[in-house]
Amino acid sequence: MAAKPARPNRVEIGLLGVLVLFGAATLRGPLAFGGKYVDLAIGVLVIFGGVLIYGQFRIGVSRARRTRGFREWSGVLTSHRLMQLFLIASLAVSTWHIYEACLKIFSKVFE
Amino acid sequence: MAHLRGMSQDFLKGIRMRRRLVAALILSLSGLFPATLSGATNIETGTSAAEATLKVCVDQRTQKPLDGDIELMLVMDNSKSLQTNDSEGKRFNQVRTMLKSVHDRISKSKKPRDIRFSFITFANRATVQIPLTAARVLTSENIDAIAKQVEVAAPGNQENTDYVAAMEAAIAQMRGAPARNCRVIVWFTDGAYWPSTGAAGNSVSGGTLRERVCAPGGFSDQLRQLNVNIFPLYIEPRDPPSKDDPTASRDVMAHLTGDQDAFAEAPYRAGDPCGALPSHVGEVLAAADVNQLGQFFKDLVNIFEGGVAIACPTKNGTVESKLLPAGRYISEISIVKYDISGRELTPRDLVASQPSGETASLDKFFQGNDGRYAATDAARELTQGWRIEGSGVEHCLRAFKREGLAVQVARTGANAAELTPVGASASWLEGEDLVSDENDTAIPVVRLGPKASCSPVVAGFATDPTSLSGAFDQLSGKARGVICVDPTGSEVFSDGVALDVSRKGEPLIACDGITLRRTGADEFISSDRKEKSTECVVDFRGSGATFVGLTSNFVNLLTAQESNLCNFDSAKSVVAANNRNGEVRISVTAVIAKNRETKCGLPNKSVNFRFADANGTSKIGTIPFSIELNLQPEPDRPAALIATILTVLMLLAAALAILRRMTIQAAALLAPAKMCSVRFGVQAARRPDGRVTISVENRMLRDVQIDMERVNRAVLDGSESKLVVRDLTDELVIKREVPPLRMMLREPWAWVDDTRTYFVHPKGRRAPASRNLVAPFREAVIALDDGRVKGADNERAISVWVIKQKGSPEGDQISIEELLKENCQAIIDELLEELESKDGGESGAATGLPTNTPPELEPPQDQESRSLPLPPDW
Repeated sequence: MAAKPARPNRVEIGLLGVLVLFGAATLRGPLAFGGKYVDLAIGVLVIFGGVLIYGQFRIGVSRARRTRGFREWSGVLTSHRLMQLFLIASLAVSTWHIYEACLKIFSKVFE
Repeated sequence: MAHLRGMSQDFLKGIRMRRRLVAALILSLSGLFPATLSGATNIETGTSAAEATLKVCVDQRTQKPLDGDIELMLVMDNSKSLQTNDSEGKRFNQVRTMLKSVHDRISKSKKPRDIRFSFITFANRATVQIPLTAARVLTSENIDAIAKQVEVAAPGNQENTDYVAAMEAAIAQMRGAPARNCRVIVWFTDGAYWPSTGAAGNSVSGGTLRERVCAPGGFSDQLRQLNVNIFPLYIEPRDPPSKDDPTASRDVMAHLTGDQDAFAEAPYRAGDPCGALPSHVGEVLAAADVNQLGQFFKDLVNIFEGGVAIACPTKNGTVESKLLPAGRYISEISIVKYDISGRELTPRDLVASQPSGETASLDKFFQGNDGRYAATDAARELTQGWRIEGSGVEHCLRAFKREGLAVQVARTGANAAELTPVGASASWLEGEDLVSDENDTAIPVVRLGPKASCSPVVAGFATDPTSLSGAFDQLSGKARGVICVDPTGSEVFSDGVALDVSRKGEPLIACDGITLRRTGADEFISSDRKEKSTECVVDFRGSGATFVGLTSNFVNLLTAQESNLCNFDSAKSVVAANNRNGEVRISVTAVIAKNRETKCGLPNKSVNFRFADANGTSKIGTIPFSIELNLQPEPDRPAALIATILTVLMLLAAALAILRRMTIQAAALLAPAKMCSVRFGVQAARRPDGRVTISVENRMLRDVQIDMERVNRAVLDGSESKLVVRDLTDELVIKREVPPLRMMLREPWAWVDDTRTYFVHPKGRRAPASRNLVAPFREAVIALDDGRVKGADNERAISVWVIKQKGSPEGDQISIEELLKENCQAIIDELLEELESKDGGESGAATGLPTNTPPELEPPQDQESRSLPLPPDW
């Protein structure tokens, strides 16, 4: 009996979504006091976390295609497109975090 | 359950009846006086006040005012019941208005202080949203953002109402406040104690909530040890659930605040162990409707500013205030409507009733708008013991002390002196009897000197001529005094009205000092790099003295170390004096030296000036001067932007490298060992009727049969990125494409690397769909044009490669045959069409197929069956 084709991995999709939400929720505004290293760490975490989860998702899909097949979601919003959206969102969020960190790190120098 | 419901009704009724905010005023909030009204001794009767009065911003042990910043903590209920009781979220607008009002008022006071806002939400547990250690200092720019944060954090979507968790969190946070800061908790709730474990056992007496709050060492004691004032703001639920436990909640609200006549009981009798109420540090404010909450918030501002309740709340439709001090001592009154119905009263709706029985519209004496009404000149006609009367729905009326009163002590003989009103507010003291001997108890009682007080005992220099003479000799520089003004049997300004005092021949220093202060997490080194102090007015008019000049310049005002600590450029900083007709305004402008984090506190400095007294003698005047700076370095935004771009680019490059690696992994071709293949030599021609005849190695397509020996003769090798298939006559290379960025974001694919014109099966999803393979692929049929057959007009030689994953259930041999038979006709048909369209089929080999990623790729197609036009260079 042939194995059913694999479906998009909801755990990975959820993880990336949560990562984006976490990144967005921890934005505090560019002038919020303190936590420059926290901002930097969150920015790096989100950008690399996003890429790793997205890449892992693609590997999973390819592996499924090689073995028992892969059945994508029907409709306009495919799992691939959703993951791409999340990836772009994570990039935007991490960029903003890094900008906040840079604002706090960099000071004007005047005499 | 029925008895609980009954108690709930009693509770709500009690709250509705009692809404008094006896709050003493906290002029200390605006930095002028302590708000300690406790234990007041009546001037005339000498009896202690029967009612414990509210103490706000006061050290509970020393009774000294807390003159630091204001720690304003909002403890906000986040339970689901709010969706019923405030479905429109009006409370958030009211919080915004409160923050704005508090900020606007306090920042404009004579001694502005930072308002540090911290925020906790609670339901089944407490969540610290803005910790006190990272409190947001209210500025006109960040109030909207903070209010939005409150709105987002407390939508009212959680179960339970755990007061214990809320108080634990609030007190833990308050422990981190600097000792000199004034601490105020605004505790907002719309329900009653109901933790996730239920509130069983709390309905009569005892129970967890009462024990945690009222027992020795409980929350009540902790609040007082920490000098925290608390104002529970309560919205009556529209439909109080029977599970609620109002009795315990009522008891602990009364106990936390020390509000003795809370809930329309005087004194309030709470169940054990909450029976004996401690000192009065707050008020229970109960709103029948969420709209009423806004009124309470509005009134909180009046409390912060020092408004003393004189009729609050008014009851039974009648307004009748306490007996009030003379009108000259009241600078303003506030009128706030507590009831959600009816119209807010204005002075036009009320009358001032004099002790003589004479009445006049209050509008004659107090005018203004938006609930705050300033005294007019006519207010001098109001004699002590007057009161405000009228009718209307429930309101709260407060009175504010007059500030800026000043007197001059002038020697009139060898052992005699007299007081003369001076300064900008002198007219308010005209005609007043300022002479009070030691035994004088008739209002007003005036006392001078550093120990001058009305409460708890009248102390200081008396103002009869002899005592004044002594005072004249001892007072100098910045001196103070008080006028005790409360009429008999009434307690309004129990610690008196403050006086600035000067000696004849010396100027009046009409300020507490000069302050250079800017602190806060959101305060940055300003772009103009200048920090300006408050201004102190030194009034020489009528003193007989003349201003000579400043003796302090910035270089001798601070030592080099102090200037360095405070990040000042001493050479550019100045102490300035502006003399206008005898009114000298002295201020300090410091220039920040460097854009670095600046934290400095110099509380005990002084600015000196020289003046000539009435006799022409040169003297030095001293004005207290303090500095407190806590500034963050101004960020270099362009540099930060560039750094951000570079950082993100570097991170992006690293991320893309990872993504590329993972994409390659995802797009890896099957290992050659897992594949099998065979090449078929095909001759195909299109007949005049358009049909295509296909001959596979001299057989009809349907008759094709292969043996595994032939399959095994085809050699496969390669790597993860390349698959090479060859036999004795042909070689085919399939490459996994090295993905560019946009390919990395799409599904991986593979490419037939060959110069011949070819078509593939299955087609890929993107253009040219007929020439790439979805990778990793498990099967493929690839037809490649080998050119015309010699001697035949329209017959072409075609190589057909069939590639399969090993291990088909029906056997590799059969599966290869079937794959060929199923797809060969269609794929060759397409190939011939393509060839015919090119130069009458002359193209043959060398069609210029790229071996790398084609420069023009169309977006992927949703349907695999759709084909796209080929790019022009194909």
